[in-house]
Amino acid sequence: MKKKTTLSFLVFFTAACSVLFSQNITVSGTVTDASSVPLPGVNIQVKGTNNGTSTDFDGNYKISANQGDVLVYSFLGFKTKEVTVTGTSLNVSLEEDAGQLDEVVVTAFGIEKKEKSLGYSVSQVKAEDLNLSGQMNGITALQGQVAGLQINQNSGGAGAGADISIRGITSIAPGRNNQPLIVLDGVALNNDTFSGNILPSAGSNSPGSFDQFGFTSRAGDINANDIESISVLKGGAATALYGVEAANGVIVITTKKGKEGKAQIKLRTSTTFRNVVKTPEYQKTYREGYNGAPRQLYTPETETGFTRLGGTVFYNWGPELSADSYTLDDGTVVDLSNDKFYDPMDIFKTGINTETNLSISGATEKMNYYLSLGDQKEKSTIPNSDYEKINMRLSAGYQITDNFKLNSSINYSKSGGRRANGGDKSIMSSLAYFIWSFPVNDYQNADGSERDFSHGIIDNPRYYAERSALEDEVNRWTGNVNFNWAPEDWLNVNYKAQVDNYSDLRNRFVSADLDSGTQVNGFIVNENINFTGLESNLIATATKDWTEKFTTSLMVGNQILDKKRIYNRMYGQNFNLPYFNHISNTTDRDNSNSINHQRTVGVFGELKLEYDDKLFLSITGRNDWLSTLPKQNRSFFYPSISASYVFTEDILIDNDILSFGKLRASYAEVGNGPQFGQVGQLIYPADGFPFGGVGGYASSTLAGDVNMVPESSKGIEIGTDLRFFKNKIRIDYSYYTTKVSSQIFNTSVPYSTGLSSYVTNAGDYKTWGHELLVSGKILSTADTSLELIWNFSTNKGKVIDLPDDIDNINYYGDGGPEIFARVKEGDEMGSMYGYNLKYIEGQLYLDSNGYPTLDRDNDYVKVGNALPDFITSIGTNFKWKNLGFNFLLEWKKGGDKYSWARRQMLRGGTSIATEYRVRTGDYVFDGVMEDPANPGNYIPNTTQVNLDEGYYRSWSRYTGAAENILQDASWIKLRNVSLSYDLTNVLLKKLNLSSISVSASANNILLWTPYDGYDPEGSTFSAGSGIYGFSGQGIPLTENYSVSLQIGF
Amino acid sequence: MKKILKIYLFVIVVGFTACNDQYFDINTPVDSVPLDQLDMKDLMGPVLYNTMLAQYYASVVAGNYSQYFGGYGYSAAGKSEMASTWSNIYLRVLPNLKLIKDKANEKGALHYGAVALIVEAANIGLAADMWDKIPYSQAGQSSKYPHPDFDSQEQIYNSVFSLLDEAIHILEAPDNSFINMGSEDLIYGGDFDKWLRAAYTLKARFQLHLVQKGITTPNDVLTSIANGFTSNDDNFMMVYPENELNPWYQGSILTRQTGNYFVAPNDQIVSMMNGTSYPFQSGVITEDPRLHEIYQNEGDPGDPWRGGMNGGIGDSSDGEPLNTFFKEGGYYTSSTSPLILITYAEAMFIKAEAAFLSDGGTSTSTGSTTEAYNAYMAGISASMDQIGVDGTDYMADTSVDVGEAGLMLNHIMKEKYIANNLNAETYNDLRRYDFSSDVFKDLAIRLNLDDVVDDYDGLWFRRAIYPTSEKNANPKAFDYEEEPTVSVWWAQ
Repeated sequence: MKKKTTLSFLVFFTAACSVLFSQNITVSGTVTDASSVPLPGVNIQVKGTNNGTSTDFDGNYKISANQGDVLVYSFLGFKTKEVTVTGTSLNVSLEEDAGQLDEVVVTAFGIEKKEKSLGYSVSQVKAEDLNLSGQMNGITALQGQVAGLQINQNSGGAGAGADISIRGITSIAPGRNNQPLIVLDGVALNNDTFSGNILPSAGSNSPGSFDQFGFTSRAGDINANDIESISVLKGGAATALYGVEAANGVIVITTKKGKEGKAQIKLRTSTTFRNVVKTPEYQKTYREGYNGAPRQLYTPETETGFTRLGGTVFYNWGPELSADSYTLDDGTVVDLSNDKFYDPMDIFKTGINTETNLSISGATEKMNYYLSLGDQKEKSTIPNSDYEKINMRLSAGYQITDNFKLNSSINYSKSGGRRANGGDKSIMSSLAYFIWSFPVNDYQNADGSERDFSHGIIDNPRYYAERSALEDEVNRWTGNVNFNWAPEDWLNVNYKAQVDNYSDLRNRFVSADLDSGTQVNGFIVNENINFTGLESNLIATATKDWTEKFTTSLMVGNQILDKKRIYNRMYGQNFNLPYFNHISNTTDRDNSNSINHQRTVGVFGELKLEYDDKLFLSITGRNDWLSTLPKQNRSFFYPSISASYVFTEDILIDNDILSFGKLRASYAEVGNGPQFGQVGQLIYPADGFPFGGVGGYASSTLAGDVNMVPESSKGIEIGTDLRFFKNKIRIDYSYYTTKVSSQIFNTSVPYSTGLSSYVTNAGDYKTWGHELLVSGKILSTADTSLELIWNFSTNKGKVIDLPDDIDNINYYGDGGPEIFARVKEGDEMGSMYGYNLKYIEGQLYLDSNGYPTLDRDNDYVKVGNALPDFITSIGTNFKWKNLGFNFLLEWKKGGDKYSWARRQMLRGGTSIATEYRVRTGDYVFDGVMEDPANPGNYIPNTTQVNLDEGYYRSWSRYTGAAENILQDASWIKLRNVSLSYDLTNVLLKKLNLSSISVSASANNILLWTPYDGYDPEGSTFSAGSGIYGFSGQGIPLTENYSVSLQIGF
Repeated sequence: MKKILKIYLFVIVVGFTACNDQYFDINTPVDSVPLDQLDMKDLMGPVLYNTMLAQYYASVVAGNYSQYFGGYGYSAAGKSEMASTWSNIYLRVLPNLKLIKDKANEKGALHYGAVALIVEAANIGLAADMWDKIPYSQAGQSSKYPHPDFDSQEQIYNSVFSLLDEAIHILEAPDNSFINMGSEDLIYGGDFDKWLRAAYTLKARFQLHLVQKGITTPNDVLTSIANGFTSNDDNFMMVYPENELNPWYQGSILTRQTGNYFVAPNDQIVSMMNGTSYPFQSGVITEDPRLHEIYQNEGDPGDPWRGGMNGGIGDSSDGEPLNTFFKEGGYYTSSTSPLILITYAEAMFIKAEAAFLSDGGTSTSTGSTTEAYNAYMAGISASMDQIGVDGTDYMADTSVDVGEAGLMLNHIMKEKYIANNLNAETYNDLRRYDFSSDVFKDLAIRLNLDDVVDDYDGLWFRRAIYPTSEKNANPKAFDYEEEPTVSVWWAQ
């Protein structure tokens, strides 16, 4: 076999040269449809050769052939036609394929199935319909394209990951990954977003590493240009064959393959500019200071840049900006005539992404090959931050014998860069505290030290960015082989094996003069992450046609998965030299090593029954063995059944209107296990030890139920696919509901139990939702085509039952305002808890001081929900001659978010919400107060108060109230608008090129949202954290403008 | 067809061999250690370390309430959850103490087990002092009590005393297991006699808390302290080794050097030591000699030592900007300084106070017994020795050497305040005497001149509030929650 592999690889490189054959005459003609409308892009092939061409925009073609050759005309949506060459002119009319009903979609294990046979919803998107320019992660381009698929770009940092969810949160377990399985050409593609541990041993308030940097989701390692199509398998029935791996749905990516015909060489370049446009709004009326008095002046000519008048400096509670002077308490008159508003958002630069991609592909009857090389570089909007990715891919297939085919691909990518810090004690948190009376970019003194505007309290964000970053470098190799053997015409055996290996070297350097480094006198974290994923899939399929109408097929398979992540961490603190980034520069070091190893073995089967091309039934079963479960509960089985009925075959409705109608229904069970190492309570080396040479161990504060069983989810999905007016209009609708029981999750337990968290089977919850796709080919003429696509989806989840001893499941809480993402029994998923202001019979209650106050008589109350009511998008694909135009508008309705940055800006007095101030002591809140003479009764409030820092900064009066800090994060975005132009044949001939197309596009431009903050799609946490509803600490999202050029040789 | 069958059989075989249990037994993290491979000594180090850190985290807040220091020397702490103290005690100390006690029982290691009891008493005693009611009798049993109920402070005190009494009883009897502690004893290096004296001293400390309540008598305290610490060698403290960073050093020296949030001394402690509150009479000295070992004066040469006014804007009580900071390499703030729980000096002040009270002394009365006076002077001397300075001139000054007839409670408490610098125990002393300026001279409540938007303006903080982590998951915490200005049970 090795020999043959070698041979096949050799052949790839020579294949490009082997397309020349002797050709006698030139055949030309026009290809039209039944109504004589010319068809552009029809493939024409001389049968049995590599000689091929395609029609131009007017349906014309020319091809060299011999008399007697057979020409094969093929075009998507039309029946393939074969015509024998008898002369030099050959006009052909193609017949429409019976309503494009035999569209195939890629399903589990890369198996192609007729869409109409499916009893569940699968959405397939072709890469050519996606705008991939400037997308570091190709999957991000699916934003707004598929109902039920939500992709959030959490961070605008260069190379940051994307959070993907299919049909909402599929797990109520905090920390549990809700990310779907990503399958590339039939085998899993690791999509971890691994945060590691990049925190110092002291001096961080961060809840974890996942809020510090927008780490790459590893699916971003693939070259987006290699993608041919993406299928989204949403429900349990669609993913049942994948077992536990697919509990959150599956995204199936099919890559480009060489096509028969002339070797294609394509060069593509694009340049994208990014800008941070949506930002929190500042008040510009009052300058720096406190209590109405200035505390510091900006004096750039001085050594430190500032003249301090006294007091703490990180407040914007000073005098009016318009005032030219201020008289201090001691009588000194301070000149304020040079004051101005320096926009802190000036820290953001224009980010640039440049991309170059080259691909060579082709095929003969026996073999195909595809080779691509790609390079993508990005300079972030944050200074001193960038990312680069290099890709190489070679995939090839070789038909070794008539019934034996080999496919193989090998991928290499190298990626990484310098990442800007978000989260707690970061560039972004410092920026939220920054006071606009000083310019953010004047960050350094003459001696290189920090221009310390706050005198040690807050870092200068620009200085932070320039001084500290996290660098990562990922080398990834993926290789797979696929044998397909069809010994009999009714039997097919397919074996696929893959190795997916990456190493990720990270280095974080934080000098001692930055807030997070100060307590440990500077620190360095070096991490080495090595992941190896092995996968083996063996599938045998037998088909039998019992009668002409009744056919069956039986598939049985085995899957072995072995995933191992080795994590080595070297931590050092206490620097000798202030800015030297090497571990040798630290005097106090700590090493750790951990290995996360998981094995899954599955045996599965599917029986398909098909009757008369209109009734389809599929029954699947899978048994999984999981290493992460306790021994006695390791093995479990789950079935699925799905059916599809094309009723238009039987019920003849006026065929001019309803051309196709299908009903589908499915039921599926899926199981899932815990994460690695969660069973039992283990003992580990204690934090801080060895201490002075003394070793020490401590029991983990996390424990897992030793009798944990797999969680089970049971889902039903029904749907219909209706097409009208000769398939010009399509309506596809699905409803699904899933009940998850014995969910495995980390329950919040009070520390007084001795545990910080307990992992157990507990609780039932269900999710349900609607998905609707309406598409219409409004125009379809020779020159012009216009398609409109409307997607709409909802997803809700509700906690039905929690065990009595669990009060709530807490995902995350910000202890500042006391706002939490948590659910209690009966709650909808995404609930947010906190405090509201106190009201008496609908009227604002004012305390005896005359101020509003939090209603703290009870436990936290529900104050909002982080998840959207619905998501909808409308898109268009318009073509006119050589010109293409697309746009995609997406609307997310509902979903509350708390912006950490805005809270700091409220407290700092920079937010627009603090602009209304009263220092004359005569502001009266509209509301009621308790009658001092008659307790228990309420009278209208008349108490006069100030509206100043004392009010806005107060937790109990203002910033602790959910109504002041939790905002509606609905938005409408113009996700994408693009214009492309294909150069005409005439020009191409002159240049001796096969195609040139140029395009310009814009992403995320135009954003309508009531939300005050950065783009509300962003999150404080990196992809895959499973925490929603918190923002304002991540690198903000951008709007993007791209131009690209693609040349085919 | 045969071939196909063969292949399929092969697949099935491969599939099922893969399904044997060994193949799947990979779910144990490589860095976890089976409990049976661990000895008591392997668990004790972190328990003691975290015990000291729990004290430290408490004093980061309590020390500010006690006006030893402020953020930047002046900023006052608001209400506090003392969340790190809570998590250290409940997550890192108590569960592992239980493992140690189990192992000690198993092996008959009586004395080793007694040390665990003392450590437990110190931790729950601290927690009760800070939060009043806390979970204890139902704590640490997650399966039985997923929402532990809270015990009253009185119940906790009963437990503290019974733990200490049991430990004393065991340590005073022989231990035939001869299992000793070694270097994992980060406090005493394995000296059980010192642990015994520590048990008595802690007992006296906790008994003293209940004297005003009338539950214990000053004589109870005197009985306990008679068996307590005998010298500075007995000090309950953990010294930071080379290459580790003492947290006070981190929070006052390192952070300041790098222009970050740091703590610096308050006017209250500096005024106690620079002759402001207690003017020196002899003319021989102008400051407490310990001042120079703890702080540094960064003012112009000859400037008086000035600490910040708690809650002020950076000025000292004389209206001038503060100039006094923790000293790099100072007694409390070198990278290898100790964290301290209780000292011999405190033992002497406990004795002095108990003797003073047993003689009928009050907050304002003058004159006491020889016993009280000798203990007072012994406490000062012990503190001088501990810090490593010559206190002869200081102790000879008549502002200090007030004589038996001149001894007042405020003298004892002033010296205890100085000797217990940074210690959370001072917060107990302040609350015991209701923040009385008769007992703590010149004590004034924090100012509110700067940025603290304070719902508790003008009120002393008298307890910590329950941590969010507890309130998140234990609804019972809400039942017991009080405003942070409400006195704990023993101070009511």
